[in-house]
Amino acid sequence: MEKLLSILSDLHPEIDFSSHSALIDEGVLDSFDIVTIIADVDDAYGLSIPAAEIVPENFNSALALFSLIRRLS
Amino acid sequence: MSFTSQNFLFFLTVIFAVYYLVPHKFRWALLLIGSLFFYACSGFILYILATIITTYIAGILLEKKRSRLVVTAWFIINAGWLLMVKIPSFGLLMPLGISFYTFQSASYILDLYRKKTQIERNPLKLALFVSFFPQIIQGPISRHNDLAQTLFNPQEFSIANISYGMRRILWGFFKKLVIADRLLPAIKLMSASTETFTGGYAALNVLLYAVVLYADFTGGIDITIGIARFFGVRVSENFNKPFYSANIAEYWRRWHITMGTWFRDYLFYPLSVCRPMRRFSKISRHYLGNNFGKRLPVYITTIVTWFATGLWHGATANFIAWGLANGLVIILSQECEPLYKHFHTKFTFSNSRYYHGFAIVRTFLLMCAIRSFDIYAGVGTTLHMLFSMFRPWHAVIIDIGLPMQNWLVAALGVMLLIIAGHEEPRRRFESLNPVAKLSLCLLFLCVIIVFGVYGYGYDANQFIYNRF
Repeated sequence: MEKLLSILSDLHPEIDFSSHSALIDEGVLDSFDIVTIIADVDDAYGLSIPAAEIVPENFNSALALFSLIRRLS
Repeated sequence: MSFTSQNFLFFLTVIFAVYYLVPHKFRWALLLIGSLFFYACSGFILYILATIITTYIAGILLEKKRSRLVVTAWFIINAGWLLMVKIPSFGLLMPLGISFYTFQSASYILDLYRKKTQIERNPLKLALFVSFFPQIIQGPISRHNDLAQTLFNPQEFSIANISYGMRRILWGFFKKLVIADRLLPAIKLMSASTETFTGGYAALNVLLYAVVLYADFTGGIDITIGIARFFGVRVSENFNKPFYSANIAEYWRRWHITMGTWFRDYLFYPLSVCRPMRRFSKISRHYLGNNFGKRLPVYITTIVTWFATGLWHGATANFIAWGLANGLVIILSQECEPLYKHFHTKFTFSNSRYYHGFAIVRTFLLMCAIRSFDIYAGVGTTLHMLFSMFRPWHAVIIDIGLPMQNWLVAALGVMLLIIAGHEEPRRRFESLNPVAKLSLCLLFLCVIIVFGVYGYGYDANQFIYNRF
């Protein structure tokens, strides 16, 4: 989780990703951010997130994204 | 049969009169009959039937086996056909709403492949999903998950739905007949005589076009949403005050939303995460560093997506230039992001609402400039007209085909649009009692009857988005 939080903070240092739970719904992350995060996750965890998993529920919070990573790995 | 034609109003009245007399579980069948009749009137029913049949067969095959071959075959047949009618040199007539129903069917096939929606085993229900008449002319492009739920299980008759539907329809007619069609003759004239209407007139033309396109397209969507609500069906919103966007990326999240999300979900994301692109991303980062190397693949995907969006509007140099211009401006503003951040930290006034207002005006003007590829014929002519705006303007008054009353009516209409766009007047309207609401709606109907462009023998202009 620490690794993921660091990826997210690098992208948007001004956001507290540990508590935010509407990153997509409130427009904090846009499509550019999403694909950048996916590339970073690929590097850090060695797994690819398929396009079908790019839905708001998986990206609305760091926790949701972390669950996705665990599920895929 | 256009939404603004008398025939359509008659057709709608007949369907509505019967709809709530039919048992709830068969109402969708009446909508299907209505949709096929509506489409048959356009003379292109065979095309949509071909899409319905291929989509049904592909769905059944995908349920048996999750096969890429089936998806590819569906795309070759349907998207190939769509592309052929879009290329002007083929000389084929474009069937009504082909872009919209093809894209809606494509999303169903892709969602089935991704296991994001349930298969529709009833071919007649699938036929209604593809052909639902209120949204076939100009969208919105609905997802199967959202539309099927409301289409096959519509809400019961309620005064609230009818009242809301009526208000949206009236509002749509107002935008279309009182604003868009009042100003359209000037745009047609100025866009055709490019030698005469340069400089200030070209600037006026692109500004008027912004108003007309907004009033026309959002008016059509208002009518669509209103009609669907008459039948207890809820259709997705397609706009969210786009002209209040502070940058072009935000604009595209608020204008023609269902088209933007379609390209994002089914082209931009899959292309960004596909294996070759991931490999390219690694190479790019290795050679170009972690910053630009990471952004380059995203930019390439952005350009491809916008190229395809341009193609969706029409396989002509103008629309492709329009798409690429959108993509380039988005990339440019992404590249300037660190500069913006620096600017915002250094100059605190940039966080004020005045600066936000400036950003909105800047985005509006930029979009007007890009939209000129949609107004003029030929990329060369468009660029010539754009550059002419930056040369000295001739102070010669030329008639642009709009009598004073058109200007006045359209200006008052636009003012009403701006006022109605704010929350407070809407909230006040909602808090009125039903009699006051009805009286205001009747008054509004009178306004449309008195000031709208229509009448016996008058062929109301087709909606601009029909042609896409």
